[in-house]
Amino acid sequence: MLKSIRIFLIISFLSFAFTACNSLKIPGKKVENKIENYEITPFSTTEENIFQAEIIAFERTLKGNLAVKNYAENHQRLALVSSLGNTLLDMEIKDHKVEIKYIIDDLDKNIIRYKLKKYFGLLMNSNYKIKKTHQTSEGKILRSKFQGKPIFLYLDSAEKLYKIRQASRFKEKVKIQIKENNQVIFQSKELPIQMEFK
Amino acid sequence: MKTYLFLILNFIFVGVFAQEKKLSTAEIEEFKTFVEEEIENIQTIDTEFKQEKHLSFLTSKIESKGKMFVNKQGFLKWEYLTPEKYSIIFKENYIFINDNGKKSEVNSNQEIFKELSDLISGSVSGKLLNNPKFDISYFQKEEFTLVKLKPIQKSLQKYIKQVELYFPENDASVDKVKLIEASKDYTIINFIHKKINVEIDSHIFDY
Repeated sequence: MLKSIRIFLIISFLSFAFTACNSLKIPGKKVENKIENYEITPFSTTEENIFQAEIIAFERTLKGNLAVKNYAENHQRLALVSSLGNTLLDMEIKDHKVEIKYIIDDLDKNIIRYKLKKYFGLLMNSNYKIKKTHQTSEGKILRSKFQGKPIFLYLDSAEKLYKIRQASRFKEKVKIQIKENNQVIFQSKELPIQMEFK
Repeated sequence: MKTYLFLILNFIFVGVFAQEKKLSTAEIEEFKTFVEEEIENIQTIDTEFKQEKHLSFLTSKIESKGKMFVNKQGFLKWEYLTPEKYSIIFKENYIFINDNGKKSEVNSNQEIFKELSDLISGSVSGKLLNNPKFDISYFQKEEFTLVKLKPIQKSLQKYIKQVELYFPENDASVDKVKLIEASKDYTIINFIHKKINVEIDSHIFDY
């Protein structure tokens, strides 16, 4: 009896280990890397940009605006403002370091501060060093790294960026979709947070 | 030389006119009595508004426009028409939100929601002057009587540092409200085409 339980446990553990450690695979065929750097511009088209924002976090919806000021290539200031006009978040990003200048009391929790710094740091990053390129039937997937994690940039057949994924070795963490009219949809895969900017 | 003189004079005049002069105790009493008497006659408010959000680091403003209604029962509707349709109705103990057709409601028994509703309607009608939750000071600025309100309660201080109400001469309802936040960013709301005591269709407050 004990032997059967032991065998069952070993089989269960091995099946779990194999399925859980199934690393993220990049589809397509690895090709010669011709693109060294890739620049993305949804938030850096002009010096000052104001976007309409909708944030759905933990089943609560918030409407407002995202204001972005671009000082230099790696230097931005941004603020998230509610429809009623109050500032919810104000942060400065310089050389990938994110400093929160102001955060509304309701959001001022360590875990939320940490995640917001990561998420907006990623959203505002405009330049990726490309390490590998994969060719798929739909276009290209460029592999880079940001915040210590792999980044995949999805280009369509016209080499236009339509999706960004940030992942750990095994799991997708963040998905960012870039639509035709420069609408950006940010989706966290770790927390129930979705942000739309247009 | 003439240019310098012009600039200096211009600076002095602008400085003088933009200055705030603190009202004397007698002037404050006179103003408060006037507002209190007039408020008694205010039953409804129907007004358009233009909202401008000023961020410390941004040259441009975030602008929105809409309408506000307050009825006899104290129901309040704050409705944005541009850039997007979005309305909030404060009615009895509930807050009803209509986000471009997507509806939701919140029970507003929490004190902070009641304070928010009182703050919005009281700002326009001048009823805030009797609110003991604020430290209030009075000034004359250009053609306006300027009333500055600083929240005493910490629960409100977290959101608002100061409210400034601009009353035009001989008017108990404000033309302009400036909300200064704890972040030091501020929002200016200008009320235009203000109509006092006009009949307001009760369906406006339907959810």
